[in-house]
Amino acid sequence: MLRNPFKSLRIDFVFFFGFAFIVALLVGLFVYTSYTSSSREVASSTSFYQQKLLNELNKKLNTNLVSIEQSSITASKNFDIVISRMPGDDSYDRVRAQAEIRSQLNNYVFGTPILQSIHVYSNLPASYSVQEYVQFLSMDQIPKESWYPDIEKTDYAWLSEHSIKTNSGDTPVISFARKVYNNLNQYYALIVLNIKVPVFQSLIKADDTDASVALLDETGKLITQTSNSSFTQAYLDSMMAKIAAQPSGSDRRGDEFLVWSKSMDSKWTLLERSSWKDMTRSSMETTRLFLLLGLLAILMIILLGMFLARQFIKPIGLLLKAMNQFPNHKGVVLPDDYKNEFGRLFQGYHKLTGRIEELYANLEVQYERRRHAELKSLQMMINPHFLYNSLDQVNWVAIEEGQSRISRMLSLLGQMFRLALTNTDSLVPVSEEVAHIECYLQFQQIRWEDDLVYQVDLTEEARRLLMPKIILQPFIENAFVHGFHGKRSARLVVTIRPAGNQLEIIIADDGRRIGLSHMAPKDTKSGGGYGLRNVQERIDALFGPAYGFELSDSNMGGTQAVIRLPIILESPHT
Amino acid sequence: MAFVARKWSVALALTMLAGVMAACGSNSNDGNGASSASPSSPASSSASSSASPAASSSEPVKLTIAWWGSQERHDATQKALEQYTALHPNVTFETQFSGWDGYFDKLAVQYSAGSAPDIIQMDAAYVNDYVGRGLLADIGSINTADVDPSLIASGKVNGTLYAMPLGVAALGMVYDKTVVDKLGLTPPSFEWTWDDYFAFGEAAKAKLGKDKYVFEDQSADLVDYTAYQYSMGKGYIYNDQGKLAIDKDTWLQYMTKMSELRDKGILTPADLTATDKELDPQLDNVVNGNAIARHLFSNQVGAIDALKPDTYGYAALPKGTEAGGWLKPGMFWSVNAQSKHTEEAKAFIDWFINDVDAGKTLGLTRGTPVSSKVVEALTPNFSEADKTSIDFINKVAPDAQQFINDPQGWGNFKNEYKTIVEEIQFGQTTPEQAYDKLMKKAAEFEAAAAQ
Repeated sequence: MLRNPFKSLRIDFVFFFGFAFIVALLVGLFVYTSYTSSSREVASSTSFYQQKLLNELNKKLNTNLVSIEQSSITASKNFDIVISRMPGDDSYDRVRAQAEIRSQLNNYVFGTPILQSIHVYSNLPASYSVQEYVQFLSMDQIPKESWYPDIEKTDYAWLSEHSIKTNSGDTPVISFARKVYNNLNQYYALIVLNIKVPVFQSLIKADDTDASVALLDETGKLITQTSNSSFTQAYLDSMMAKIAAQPSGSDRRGDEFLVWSKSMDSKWTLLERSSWKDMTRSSMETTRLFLLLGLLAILMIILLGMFLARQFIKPIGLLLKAMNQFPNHKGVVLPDDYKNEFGRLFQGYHKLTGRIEELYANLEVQYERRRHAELKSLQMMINPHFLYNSLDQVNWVAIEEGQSRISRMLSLLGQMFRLALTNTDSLVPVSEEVAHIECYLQFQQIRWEDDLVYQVDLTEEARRLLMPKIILQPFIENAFVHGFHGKRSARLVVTIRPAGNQLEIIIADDGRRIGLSHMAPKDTKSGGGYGLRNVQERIDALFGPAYGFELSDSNMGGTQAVIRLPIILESPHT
Repeated sequence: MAFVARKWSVALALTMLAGVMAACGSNSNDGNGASSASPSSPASSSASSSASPAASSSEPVKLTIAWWGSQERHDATQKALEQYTALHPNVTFETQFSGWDGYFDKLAVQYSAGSAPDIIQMDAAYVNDYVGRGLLADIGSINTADVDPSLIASGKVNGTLYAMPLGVAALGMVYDKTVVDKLGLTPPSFEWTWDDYFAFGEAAKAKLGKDKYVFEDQSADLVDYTAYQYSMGKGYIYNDQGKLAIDKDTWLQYMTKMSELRDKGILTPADLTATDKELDPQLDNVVNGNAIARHLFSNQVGAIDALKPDTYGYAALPKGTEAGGWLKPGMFWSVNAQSKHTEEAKAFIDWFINDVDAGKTLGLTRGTPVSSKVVEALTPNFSEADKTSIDFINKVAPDAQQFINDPQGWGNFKNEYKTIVEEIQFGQTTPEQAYDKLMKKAAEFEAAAAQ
């Protein structure tokens, strides 16, 4: 799975390369379309003008060549007239005939600038002098000529490039050959009109191009070409099908751009080949310019992109740096001159870190407090133990001193401490709580002796139930501290029983009535006030407001406290 | 314009030659005089080229130039043209060169087509004709300080220079020395007479056998008869009024004698004569070995020597009561009056005759150069053929006949003459009948020239 680059790659990377890619794509597209369209334009216009030019050349050529062909007709007729006038049996006739023919043909050469010379193959005496314009050769010579196949089966033909001897050495010529027939329709001479190749080529050469032009006759035979052997007959044969199908056309093969023109009214086909590279040089230059400009644009955009990316990425980088160093970021200060999204981001970050710092501070305070509390509670736990152990020692001293009553009191007090110290804050069986208050009551019994009568009614059913510990002791203590204060005798009844779905505990005495008003002040720390409030709070915390206690007048003449607790069965494993 | 005989005497020619060829020594007995006389002071070519008329703009100019001549002349001239183009890159040449035959026919056609060359090699026979028709440009501005004035005069018509003489040549004969030596014959000399000539013919034919001939039959060339008439003391073939002045008896005598030689096989037979092309490697009957001797101009020595080196000896035309040969300005450069580039053409001709480097390239292909400075510079470097050519002139010069340009209107007469004499050669007619025909033709020319 390709991951979304916007999510996985670095922003500046995506930003920059995305930019560069789009620009490169645009530039490339622009360059490509401009090149293809302009080169297509060049090709079509070149093809059009070249064809036009070739057609013109073809016409010009045809005019010239037709005049040569016509000259040859006249020359052959005149030749026949001279020969029939002077049959040539005697040598003087023959010399005269030859002189006359020479002089006539000389005039063709003189009057037709493109003619180089005329060769006459006949039975006249052979005479070949390079200083002359008209050469006489023997008929026997014809089959030895390289062009013999071209004329063998026809009355006249254009002979492609071949070499003849002239006073400039071996000179390439293109020739028109025509057979001469007499009245008896016998072929007895051949007149060959020679045109110098450069002259011929100048006829088919466009003035302003150096493209190479080839000239083909109607059979597709290569007559001549303007550049040295750039066209081969085999190559032209491969083109013939195309040329035959389309008299004027163009074709492109690699670097070659071919245009041809076959004139309707002549048998000549001109084929021009030019270099595609040369033709499209200007459009290539434009393309290259565009490409250069494109590259320049890409470079500029790269720089701009880099600049923009930097500018945009810089605040993010700062933010990232600040975040990385967060816990101790005091050194990194985010710039405050950003008013845009970055500014808001910075502000948000500032707010966030502020809040976090505040929280940290709070946590620290809380932790400090808790530690403090733990310490205090540990201290508080040490006191009862210390008191218990001290009491034990006092007890021993009392026993040694023979003070059995004090010893007994200290022993009960020790028992109470022990009960109080074990299972702190947890629920205890009702029996244990009862044992605790009995200890306290026995403790008071030693002081009150027989003046104190107390009774604990505990149903067997209730004995197994659980209840918070040291709930009852403050009420009993309250009765002794407040209710029996100043009295000679005291009576106290504790009833514990389940009532409905509640455990109901009633502690009734016959002491003074306390009254509700006496209970109201909760601020006092003295005596039962503190103890009762503590009980109320603990019940509230453990069971909710549905439970609690209430004080009222007892039917024994004193005060009674009714404590209501939920019924909690002893768990099996306890 | 009918009378155009040049006031160009033998004496003047001699004076000129003496001046020009002091180095060669007019005293031919002193064989080594050539190298001892003038310590070569090769004139700086830059000096002479700077003397060219300031027609040289940098605009590209293409000059068409035509000449006739041998292959040797073609090659030398083309080389000189390349040299000129190297000096003046804006000037290029289109050349038209051929043998003598047909040259003036072609020029005539070109003039009528308006496509005649800018620079034309001109022959003395045609100067008057062309000037008469206004076809040649005045080229009097060309620097001719180093050219003998009497030679310059040969290119003037009515005091205006239309044709720049290019060299001096003497008419004489060439013979195949190797054959003459092999056959043990007395070689023709610069002193031989017609009797010697006939005797040589008889003796040579006797040794040569049936298929070989002694002399190339040049009787159809008016030049040969001109020399004969001169040698017989009958004067020039045109008179002072520019009319044909062939002496009937002399002509008949000559033609009869020639027919006799032809019959004996001393002269080439007619059909062989018809195929002869002077200086053609295959078709020249002396070069290809069909005959031993023929007439030749001294400026063709190099050409024939090039075809077969060290083969040929040279002689004067046979003497009668007088010498037969003459000195002539071999040929001229003329400028086409229709040319668009007459200034450039003149600048080229100036360079052609005055520049030492050009002179070195051209050698004696058009005869002895006309500029004394060029001759001076060339003399130390003369080739054997050049020396022979100079020697040739010097030997013909002492008793050379007067050279006179053909009168106006008679330029083509030599062609008609040839046709008529050919009939004699082929036995189609007798000398007497031929003479009548000739006179008829002459009357036509005379009538035409008079108009």
